[in-house]
Amino acid sequence: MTGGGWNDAEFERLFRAHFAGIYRVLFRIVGSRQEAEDLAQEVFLRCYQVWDPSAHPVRPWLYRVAMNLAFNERRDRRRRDVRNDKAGRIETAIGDPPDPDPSEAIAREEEREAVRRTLDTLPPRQAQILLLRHAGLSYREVAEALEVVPASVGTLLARAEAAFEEAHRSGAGRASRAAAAAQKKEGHHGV
Amino acid sequence: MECDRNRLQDYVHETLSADGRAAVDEHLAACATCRAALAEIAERASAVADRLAALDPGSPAETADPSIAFARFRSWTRTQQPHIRTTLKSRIEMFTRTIAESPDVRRRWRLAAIGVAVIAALVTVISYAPARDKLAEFLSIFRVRQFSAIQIDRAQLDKLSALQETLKKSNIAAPICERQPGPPQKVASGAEATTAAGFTVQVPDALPPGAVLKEFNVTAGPSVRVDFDPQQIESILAGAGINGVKLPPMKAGSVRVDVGNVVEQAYEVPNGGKSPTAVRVVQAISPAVTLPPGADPTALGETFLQILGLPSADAHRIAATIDWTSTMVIPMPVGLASFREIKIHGTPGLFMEQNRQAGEGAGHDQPTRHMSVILWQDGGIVYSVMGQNITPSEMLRIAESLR
Repeated sequence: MTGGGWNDAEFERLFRAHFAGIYRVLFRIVGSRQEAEDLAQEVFLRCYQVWDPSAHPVRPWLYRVAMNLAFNERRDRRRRDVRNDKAGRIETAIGDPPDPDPSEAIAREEEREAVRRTLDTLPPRQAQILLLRHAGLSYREVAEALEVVPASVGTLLARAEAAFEEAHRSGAGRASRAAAAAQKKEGHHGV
Repeated sequence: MECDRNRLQDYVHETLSADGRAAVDEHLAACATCRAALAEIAERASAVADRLAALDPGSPAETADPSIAFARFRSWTRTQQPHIRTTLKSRIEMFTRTIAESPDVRRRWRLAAIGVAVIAALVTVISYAPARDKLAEFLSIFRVRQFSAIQIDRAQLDKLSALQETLKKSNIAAPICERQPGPPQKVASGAEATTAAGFTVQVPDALPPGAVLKEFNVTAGPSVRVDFDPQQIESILAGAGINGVKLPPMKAGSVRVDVGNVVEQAYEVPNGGKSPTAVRVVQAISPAVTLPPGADPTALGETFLQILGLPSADAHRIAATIDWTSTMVIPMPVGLASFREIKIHGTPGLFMEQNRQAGEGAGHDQPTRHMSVILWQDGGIVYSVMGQNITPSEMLRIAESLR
């Protein structure tokens, strides 16, 4: 593998140092271990192949790639849901996708999905700044990941927190379920 | 210092210098408005933190093991070795092994298994996801997350066998082994296997009475590349009597399949060599497949279903309902084998079994054997339990006893 000319031990250290954090933020966004694991693999593969140490510090770079992949994944999933709804269920020998886990975790999962829907209602930048800051990135790292000036992070974060709380309290997460259903009917894909 | 909400925000997020904090403290002591504002900001920040924390992985089923993750990762980046051409036969054997390996399967079951394996090359081309991100278009990486089965008829199976022959003779789409499988490494226990394989190897707890361990080994899987040219494929399909298959517009390219470490355990209840009861458990890191840029999995899936014999309208309709990004579709020859979907501890899986009739009619010189397989995927690891002369409920019990 040519890659970025990595020494194996060096890359393993980097992987192990950042995997848990990257996995966690991905899981927060996509809510499935499988997807979060796959996305984490892609984040590190991208890092292995294209990250330029002279251009960017690694941690914010990894989080930026994770944000992009996870937000795209969530958008694609909404599109897939729309497409599957349109196709309808066809009786065939082909298996259906797995049912959601029908255990007592449903209530918690609904709460989680409400939080994710609230994040969906925010402009992506606002959702990302919340996720990055609450993943433990410093203002400087958040600034690097989102390519904004460090001095603006505090203001952007304050705005994002206010918008998030307002949206969540007003029930955006819950209400948007109906909105999403309506949107599906109209054939819009959302962002 | 004057009233400054931004500074209060920074204060709450603890990003101020010691001097900065001291200045805010001093101001707060004298300003009731800012104290109220601070309380509001702090409350909001903590509410947001709590809500986001609710999204964190909670149960062990939601947490990821960094060692498994790194083992998976390393299977991508391992040094590629010089290209060594292998025969189609060895490739077929490689795929067949994970589906129906048994030291002495009946001829007809073997035929069915080969029917499955012949198309495995095509399966690997199409069973996986497109890149999730535009930046990754040059690098489409996919992993199997679930298994489905589709029935194919005998006549089509014969055509697929003809296809196999043609491929072998013409040397078209012959797989190139970029990394040879390693020699099997014998291990004595699950713990030893875990160390050798780089992921947590599970051992069945509930085995048939009297079962003894015959084999336990870890093998580094191969990395295989298949170069293909759509025009050649079209002419070969026609040559095998598989007509009317429409390939999506695509250029010639390569597909890579990288198989990580594979762990196999074989158990047997000795009964004097006649049709023994046997169990084989195979665990492997979900194989990684890289597609050429721009390949459309749904269009390829439709082609695949046509090759399996579905009328083109059905192939089109059904292909649209499958998430080709994560599903491996396994062809099941009608009459020889049947399948159903099951759950293993809540994880969806596929149970496949050789039909009793097919087994019994296969020749009177051999004792009757009955083969079945359970396939599922969990946490990036593909599991397969293969049984000989084991009832479906026992099979499920064995699968669920892995720990």
